[in-house]
Amino acid sequence: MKGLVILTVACSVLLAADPEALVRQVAGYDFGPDVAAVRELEALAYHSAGTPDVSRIERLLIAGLDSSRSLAAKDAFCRDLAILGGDAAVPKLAELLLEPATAEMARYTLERIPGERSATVLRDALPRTSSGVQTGIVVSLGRRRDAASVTALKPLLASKDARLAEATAAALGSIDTPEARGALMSATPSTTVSSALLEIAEKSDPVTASQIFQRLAGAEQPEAVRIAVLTALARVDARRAAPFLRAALHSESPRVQAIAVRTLAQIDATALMSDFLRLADRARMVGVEALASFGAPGVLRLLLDATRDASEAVRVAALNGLAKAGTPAEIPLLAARAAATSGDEQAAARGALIAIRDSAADAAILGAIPSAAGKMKMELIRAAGQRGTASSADVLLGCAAENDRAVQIESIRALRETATAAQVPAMLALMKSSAGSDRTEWERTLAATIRRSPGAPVNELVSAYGSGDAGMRGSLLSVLSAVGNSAALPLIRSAAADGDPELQRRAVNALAGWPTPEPMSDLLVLARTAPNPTHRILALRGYIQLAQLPSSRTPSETAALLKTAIEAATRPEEKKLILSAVQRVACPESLEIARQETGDPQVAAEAKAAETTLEHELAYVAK
Amino acid sequence: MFLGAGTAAVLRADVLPSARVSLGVIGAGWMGFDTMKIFMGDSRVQVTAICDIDSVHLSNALAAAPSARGFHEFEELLARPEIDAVYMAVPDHWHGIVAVAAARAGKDIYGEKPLAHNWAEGKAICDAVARYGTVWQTGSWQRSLPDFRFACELVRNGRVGKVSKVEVGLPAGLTDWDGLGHQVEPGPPPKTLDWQRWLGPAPWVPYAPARVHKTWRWNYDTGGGSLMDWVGHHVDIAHWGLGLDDSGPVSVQGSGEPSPHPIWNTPPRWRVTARYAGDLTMLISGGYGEVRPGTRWIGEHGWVWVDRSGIDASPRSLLSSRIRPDEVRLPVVTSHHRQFIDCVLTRAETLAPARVALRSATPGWLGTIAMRTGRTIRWDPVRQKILDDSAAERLLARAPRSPWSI
Repeated sequence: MKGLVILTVACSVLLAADPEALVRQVAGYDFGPDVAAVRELEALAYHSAGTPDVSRIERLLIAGLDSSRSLAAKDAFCRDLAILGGDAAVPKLAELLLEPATAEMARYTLERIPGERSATVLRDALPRTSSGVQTGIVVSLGRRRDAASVTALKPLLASKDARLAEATAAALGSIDTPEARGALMSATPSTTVSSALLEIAEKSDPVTASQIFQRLAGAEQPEAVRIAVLTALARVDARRAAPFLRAALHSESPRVQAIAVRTLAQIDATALMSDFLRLADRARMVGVEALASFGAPGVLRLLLDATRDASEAVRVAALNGLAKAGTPAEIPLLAARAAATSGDEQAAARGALIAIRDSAADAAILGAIPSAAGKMKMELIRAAGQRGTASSADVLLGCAAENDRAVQIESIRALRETATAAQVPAMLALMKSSAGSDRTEWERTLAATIRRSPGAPVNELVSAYGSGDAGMRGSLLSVLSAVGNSAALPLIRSAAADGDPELQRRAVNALAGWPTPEPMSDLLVLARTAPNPTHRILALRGYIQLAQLPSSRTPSETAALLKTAIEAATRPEEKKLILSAVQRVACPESLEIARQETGDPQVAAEAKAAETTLEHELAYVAK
Repeated sequence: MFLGAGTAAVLRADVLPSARVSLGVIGAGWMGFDTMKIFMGDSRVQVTAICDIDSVHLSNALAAAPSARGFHEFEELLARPEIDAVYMAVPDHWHGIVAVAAARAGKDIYGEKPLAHNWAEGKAICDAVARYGTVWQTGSWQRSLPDFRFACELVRNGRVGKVSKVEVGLPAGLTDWDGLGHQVEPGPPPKTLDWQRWLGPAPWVPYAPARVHKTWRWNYDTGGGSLMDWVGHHVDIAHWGLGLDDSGPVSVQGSGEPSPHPIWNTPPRWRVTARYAGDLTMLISGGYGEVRPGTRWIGEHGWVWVDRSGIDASPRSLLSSRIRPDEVRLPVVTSHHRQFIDCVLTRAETLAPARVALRSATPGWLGTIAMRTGRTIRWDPVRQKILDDSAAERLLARAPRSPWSI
């Protein structure tokens, strides 16, 4: 096991105030842990770039190159010159460019130095270096868009060194002069040549772009290039692209088909819709999705027809499309489809019912509920709830009182999203006459309603508690816990001390399930002193849970709470929960908790795992 | 362009026999292995190829996906015509090269965040993805979790009023997951690791165990510290909640503490302040405890906070608020990975496309430049350029080591 290791940088005195001394230090650097001076000099380079001090530092770095005793040192100076170097650094770098051992570091430094001097050095070195270095120089000239190098680069397009040829094509594409373009247009086709021409086409006038597309549209080109040409042509000249896209609708490649479908949906939806029925299943599905996404005129008719397609995938795509393009008139169709199907098709129909933006859809749904029956009614109720239709509460309350249990449950759930504080008395009355899982549904609905209401008022609940039987009181404790209004805490505390053991248990659970850390001190007291051992365990678990809720505490403060918890724990089960929690609170205090528990054989493995995780997290945090 | 509110899995292979995707995995170490298993749980996906230059990672992954073919070089994997899409989980310094190559090869891409090692490479990815019509999903999977979506909808629909401040708390420190942080002496790489290729476009340095596998994140040659590791999560969410997916800050300041480690040179604690148009300030902080981990939007009428551990708000009644159909509704995606496959099949845009990932990462890149230069960086979010600071502008890109380039 590794202990906490803070690896300090073994260094001589940092000479931050004396750049000359820093340079001397770095000149003696070789790869290894003694990096202090290198880091300091690099920081100085970053800070000096673009400031009046830059020339002075540059001169020092150049001198450093001269006095370097290792390649590592030279590399360090080159990296710094890449940050701030200018013309003054070029002669020295030119020398290094022609030495195999230093060519690469010189090259990437020169690439970053703007201006004609550095460009000239790179160009001049091109015929004088090995192919590996040449490739790098070509890359650099391309990235610099060095027009003056085109003549020298052109012959390299035909190099037998594949990497060099590719780099040349890419460079000519970036440089993009008429001469560069001409060279690429007459070069042997390759992926890189095509890519370079596509890049040029994007920046060119329509005539030049057209010529390039013509060159690249042949069947011998890879599919990726043909697709790029097709979509680029569609952007530049939609009318000219349309016939090619229509032909591509029937390509053997599903990818080409799908791209053609989407592109046509955007630029010529009418053409796509007229071809729609002749497309393969997958292409029709893509078409439906695309037409709905782009909001093509006339798409609603197509979507409605597509909801009856033989292919489930197309039907689902159409239903999804109605989420964007549907109107209140589609509500009956969607509700009926949701009622009659399952799986993806049902989910899509339900999604569309929820998503139709037109506010008249709310009225259409509410208006249809009273006369609907069975599954259709349930789908409409569900939709009213999911849409959060505020005006639906009274209709839904009526449905919640119906004899059909499935309708009742759906209505209670819908009220969860739509009821307001005004409906709380009516909901309490209905909850009183319910039992079992129905009662639980009401608890959730009441809690959600009150949480949503301004101030989360609990006075109705407190009042109902006073007059309720034991069962109702237990339910109200659950609701008050879910609401989390601290005005209810005195009542819950007194319930925790009630003579009825079941009520006590529900009160402890109410505190343990509180949505904020507020009742943690109550739980700690119960964990230590509750007469019932089960309640002590529930309380401690609640305390542990609440300690992990989002809060503005620092990690150390949270660790202190977990330390209190582990001191109160009497069983390994709770200790393991705490050890799991401390791993997510990375601080020295958490590490101490884990370490202390490594001596308890019942939790040693968990403590060890927590210790290792925390050591790794904390190893290199700045002090 | 999404598959509709509450969309279930539309595209099942039993419904559409052609709804099958052949997936290649490039980078099968930590995240790569775990996420590969997630993709394998989708019945439409067959992992047919795995590439890793660490032969231990490769053999472990092949053991988990026995029908896949193994590759040492990603170029060979991308050349396979039967592969439809790739999952890319290589270190940050490789993202640009692999992603652009994959797009050119006609493969759709699920790419890990951050989008790229630096802004210029991220832009190159976006350009390639647009050029080739590539479906791209960034691994910013928090967008697919209900708490994050709901929090963003609350903010987008004005439940807290005009937002003046966003606090983004990110993990800090230099986590030493495998306890190799003390192994910093240069030495020969293990025979199981192709060190030259592992370095790829990053500057040459000698091998040391502390440099690779997970902790590459803590060196600027290969990663961007915990700031860049997490910017694609919580800053991404911050932007999503504010409707800033196609925008960015106008100025960024930053400070970071020096690292005590000889190889891990990213700051263990840092602060970045990004200012946006309309008097909005984002504080991205790691390690100081001044900001809760996660994202918190603070408005004139309250605040909303969200993290993987939950959602909180003031007033608390906001948590029971229902977003109506006629309000801003963000796409409901129940599985980030399944959505990628859905979009591969439909060519629809994903929940976290490359252009959005570029914007999410930009405050991190600019913050890093601000930290290192000690200057306020002014940014034009429309043209995506640093203003009036050519020296800082230089730092948006870096020269790749030969023979690598995008």
